Amino acid sequence: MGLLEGTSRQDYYEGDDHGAYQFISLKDIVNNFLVAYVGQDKVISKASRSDIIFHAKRTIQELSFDTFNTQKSLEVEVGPNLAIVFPQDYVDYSKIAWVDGYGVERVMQPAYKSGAPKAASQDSDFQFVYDNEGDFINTSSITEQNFNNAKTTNKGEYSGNSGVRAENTSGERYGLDPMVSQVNGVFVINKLESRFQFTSDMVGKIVTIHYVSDGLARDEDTVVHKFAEKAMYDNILFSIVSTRSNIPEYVVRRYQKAKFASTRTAKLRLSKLNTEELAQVMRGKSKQIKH
Amino acid sequence: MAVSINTVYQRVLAILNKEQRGYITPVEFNLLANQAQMSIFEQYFYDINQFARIPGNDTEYSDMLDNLNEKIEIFETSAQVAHNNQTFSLNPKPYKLGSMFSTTTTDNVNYYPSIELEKLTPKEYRRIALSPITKPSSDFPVVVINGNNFKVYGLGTVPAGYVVEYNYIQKPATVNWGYTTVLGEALYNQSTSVDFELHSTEETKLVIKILELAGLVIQDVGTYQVADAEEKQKIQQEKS
Repeated sequence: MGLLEGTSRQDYYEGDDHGAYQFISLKDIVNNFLVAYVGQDKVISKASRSDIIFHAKRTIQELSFDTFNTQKSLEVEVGPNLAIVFPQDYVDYSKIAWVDGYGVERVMQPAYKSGAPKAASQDSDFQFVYDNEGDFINTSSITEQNFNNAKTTNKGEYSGNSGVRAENTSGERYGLDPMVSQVNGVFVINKLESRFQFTSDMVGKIVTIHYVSDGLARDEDTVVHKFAEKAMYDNILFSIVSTRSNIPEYVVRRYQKAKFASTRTAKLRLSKLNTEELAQVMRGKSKQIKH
Repeated sequence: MAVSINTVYQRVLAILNKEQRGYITPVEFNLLANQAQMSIFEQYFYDINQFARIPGNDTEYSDMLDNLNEKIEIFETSAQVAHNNQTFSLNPKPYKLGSMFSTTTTDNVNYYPSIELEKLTPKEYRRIALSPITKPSSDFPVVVINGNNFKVYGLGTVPAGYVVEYNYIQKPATVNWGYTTVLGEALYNQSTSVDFELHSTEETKLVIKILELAGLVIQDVGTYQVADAEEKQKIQQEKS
């Protein structure tokens, strides 16, 4: 019986659950693992379902970071406070860009020469001011204020104006630093307050945050692409075997190799090395570079 | 496929009466028969554990594990108990509890499909509930067992019509060689008798086991020794 038996084509096209066939749920992975790997005359003679769930979820987390091709994105308009808090299921960002009038993403760079420090209050004698519990009293950061007030400038528009972002024009007279010489702007990652901060010229602009999560935040996220199904089983198997006592080391290594190979295969498959697209890229190889 | 209690009784008497060794009354026989039945039945679980550790064979009738499972299947059954979102008890109480499922008795309820409940002790439950990635959920619910008190976690509030279905091994019925006394003689009465529920292949083992116990009752060392030697030989033959 086919996996899609029971759901007619009409149900699919008239329903909301489109494209789900490419994924397998965590529940199915755990149940499949119990059927095929656990039991008498199997690789693992006995394992509790809780153990398998733990290792399955940990595997989803690990594979989400660099194997699954499931980047998330969130489009936000920058308000007057010039800050966007991290998305709820944020683990790390992969790209931050603002969107121009043509819908093209202008990739922004992290500010290497600014930051978002905590500022401690000081009295007129420059001594720290403490609260009743002996902690610093925080005040607004001058670094943050100056960064927010600054504007991104074109590398060619050097002026002595203090409002110009020094980072973009740094080294202009003696040679620009290619790493920071770009017009799309920069942002600061304020990890202490879990937000991205932008310069004042970004007010009202649409910013897209591309980020990675760990795949466990929501039930609908906890799915695995079928290209990575074998990698899931091999990862769970290795995790269980390697955390048990009295398992010979050569057995652990055998499953470690299997895990490594299947994870690599999954990564290659999910990388979408499409021959047509590769050919299109390679066609540009013969283009003459104009100086 | 049950073993006739009258057949076993007649064989035991026939062997005992040979050379005027002795006689056991129906009351004594019933006691010994139940003792023998439970002894054989209990041994199944230890034998399965032993045979699970060695490679089996692909023959149709001679794989020991298959044979043992066939003998236990007679006693394997399932029952349902109302879910009611509270602590519940199992009725009938199982001799050995197997897997448990949350399921529905009505076809039109499409809330949760039938789903297996992982059995946990209170200690295990407290541990897994501490971790956000292992705590019970609607996909992976658990049932915590504390004596004969059971509680399901992870499913939330289930609607009416949901039950917990459990597989279990039931205890063999108490056997009885029923009789009526006619002219001072005990005559077999089938209507008041209860046969052995064990697999029919256990007939010989039952006779030997009862003889062994009868040897102790009638204080005949010879009977005990012969039956004991016979039993040991049979076990050795089966397990070697």
